[in-house]
Amino acid sequence: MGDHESKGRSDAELIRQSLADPERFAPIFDRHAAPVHRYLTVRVGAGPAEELVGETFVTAFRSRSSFDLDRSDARPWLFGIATNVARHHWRAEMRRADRDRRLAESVVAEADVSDVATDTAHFESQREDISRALSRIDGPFLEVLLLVAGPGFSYEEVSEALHIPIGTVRSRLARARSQLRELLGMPGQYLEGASLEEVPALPEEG
Amino acid sequence: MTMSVELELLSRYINERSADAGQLDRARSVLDEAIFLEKEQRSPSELEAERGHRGRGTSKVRRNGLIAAAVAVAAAAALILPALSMSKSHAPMTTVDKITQLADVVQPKPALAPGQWSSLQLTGELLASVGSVGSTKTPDAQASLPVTIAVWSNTTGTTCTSQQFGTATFASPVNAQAWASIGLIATPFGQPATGCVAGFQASVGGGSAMTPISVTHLTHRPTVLAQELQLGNTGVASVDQMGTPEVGNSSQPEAEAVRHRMAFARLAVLIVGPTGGAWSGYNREMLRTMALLPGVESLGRMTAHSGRSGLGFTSGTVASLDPKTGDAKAVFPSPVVLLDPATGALLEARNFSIPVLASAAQDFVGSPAAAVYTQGVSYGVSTQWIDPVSSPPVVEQSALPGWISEFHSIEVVGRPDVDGQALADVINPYLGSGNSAFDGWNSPTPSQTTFEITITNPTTSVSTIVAALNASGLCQSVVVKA
Repeated sequence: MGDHESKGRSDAELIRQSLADPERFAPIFDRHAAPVHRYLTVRVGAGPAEELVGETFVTAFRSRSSFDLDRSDARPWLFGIATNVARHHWRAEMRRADRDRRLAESVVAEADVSDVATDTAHFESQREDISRALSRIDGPFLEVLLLVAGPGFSYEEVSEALHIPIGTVRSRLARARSQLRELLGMPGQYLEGASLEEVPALPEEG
Repeated sequence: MTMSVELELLSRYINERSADAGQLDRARSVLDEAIFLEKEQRSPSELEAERGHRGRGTSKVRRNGLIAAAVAVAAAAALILPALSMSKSHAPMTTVDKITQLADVVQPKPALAPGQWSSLQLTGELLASVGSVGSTKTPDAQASLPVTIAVWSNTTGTTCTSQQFGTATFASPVNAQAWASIGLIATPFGQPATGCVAGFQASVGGGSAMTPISVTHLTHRPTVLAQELQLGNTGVASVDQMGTPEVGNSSQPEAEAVRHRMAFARLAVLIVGPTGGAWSGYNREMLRTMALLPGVESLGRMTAHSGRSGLGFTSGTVASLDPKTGDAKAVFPSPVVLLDPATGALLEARNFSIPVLASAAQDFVGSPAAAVYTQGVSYGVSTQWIDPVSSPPVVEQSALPGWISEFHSIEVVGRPDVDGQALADVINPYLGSGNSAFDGWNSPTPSQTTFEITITNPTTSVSTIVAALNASGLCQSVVVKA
């Protein structure tokens, strides 16, 4: 389907058509691949991101029959898949690190290879303040933070993407932002606008 | 949601992580494959319904491609019928799965540091058949020609080759006699033939060796390449113009079968090479393309001439009918590709035309007075088999044969607005025709160009050429790189 044919059609409409004609799914990639790639690049690093973008869209394509056609925007669904793909990638990385640890105990004793450290290892190589800060934020909080700051998701969209309650989204975001400010050396109470009322930490739900 | 400062900073940071076109192209090609495979698995009635829905545009393109392919006909069979094995319109899933798995494990092309060269050696056997000399038919003039090929390529697109034919062998004394009677000899002269191709523009250097197939501009998307191979419009002339069987009045399914077979034959050439300008993921993308080609069949385990065991793949056999007797005879043996089941590496290729060796028989012409030289001749060369020989994939400059030292690379930063032609005018007096090539890119300023000039067989020393460039006033800097 050319651009002119898909223009004006919602994601849901294209996905519905792709059930009969698989090629109708291609414009979904054209619309959303770039932001998904940016998200994955920050989450797992530039090298793996390239491969994981393909994996994300193939997974989406193969499971498109489960997409809720009442939702016109496919982004929360796609970023949810991208998040799972990234988690799977990290689990594999952690298993590999664990195997390496057993093979080289002495080396491991000097280098911190805890799960958190492994999870964020790629960020350590990026010598920028933000990436260094992101490397110190735990995965579940980081995911929420990136989905809000990257594609600009609302709480509802983050909730839909990650399959967690909105209250959990709020509390994770508040904690992630607080961590980020602290790591970036910002004043602790420097908040503004609507964000202020989201800051009070809510108990984790779900 | 109103963003606070830290979220604004983070948002900017994320949005700076933009992908280059190649990265998303590769991801897109993975999705394209999944879409293609799902379509392949759908029932014929579903596909038919879809074709009807999509109108005539696609089939028109296909027809035009078929006409274009027919124009390039080299063989003259009157009527082509696909053999029984070609009746399937596409590969069964098991074959696709096998090839896809091999694509996943195949090694990337080695990354080269400056001064390093990739190395490839092939050994094989060609079948040369002279059909006629002048108006005289010579069906028995056939010989097997052993050949060894070595190829070295560097990071600047320079490819040097050495090809060496051994003594021709004959299936029978009749063949030997027919070969000799038209002025051909059994022991070739001038071996090995060597030469370099300088730069990706592939101007031929000295010697009479083969010119590698330039794949610099080949698409990186397997789905696109699979289509282009069928239509013969990859943009690689020597591949696109491979002899296509005459489809004549054949039905559409038969014509499609021929096209599928030709696509596989073209792909076999791209896999075997030798190629110039291949990128890191080239091997993987060629195998992914193979998985997408209709009509590909698995032959199971086979043994290469090297003795190694591999998985064989082919595209079936195309046969022709004699228009007078109606007898069927196979005239287009299908290529066979053997791949290492563990690494996906090419172990052997059989039964295909290799364009870069099409003129091989000329090394067996006994003298300028030979009938094959003075009269019109029609002949064909096909590869019976060819194997990559185990060799270091990367070698240092010092490990290259001495004749390659006649090749040089000079990097020139031109003054603003100086173009390649101006520099060529300076160096051409020191070079033979076609012995230089230019590759340029804008640097260090938009108005300046940095040129990679590759030269072969200069008639004077490189230092003289460098001096001429410096004296021209056209160059900001001149550096000899190799």
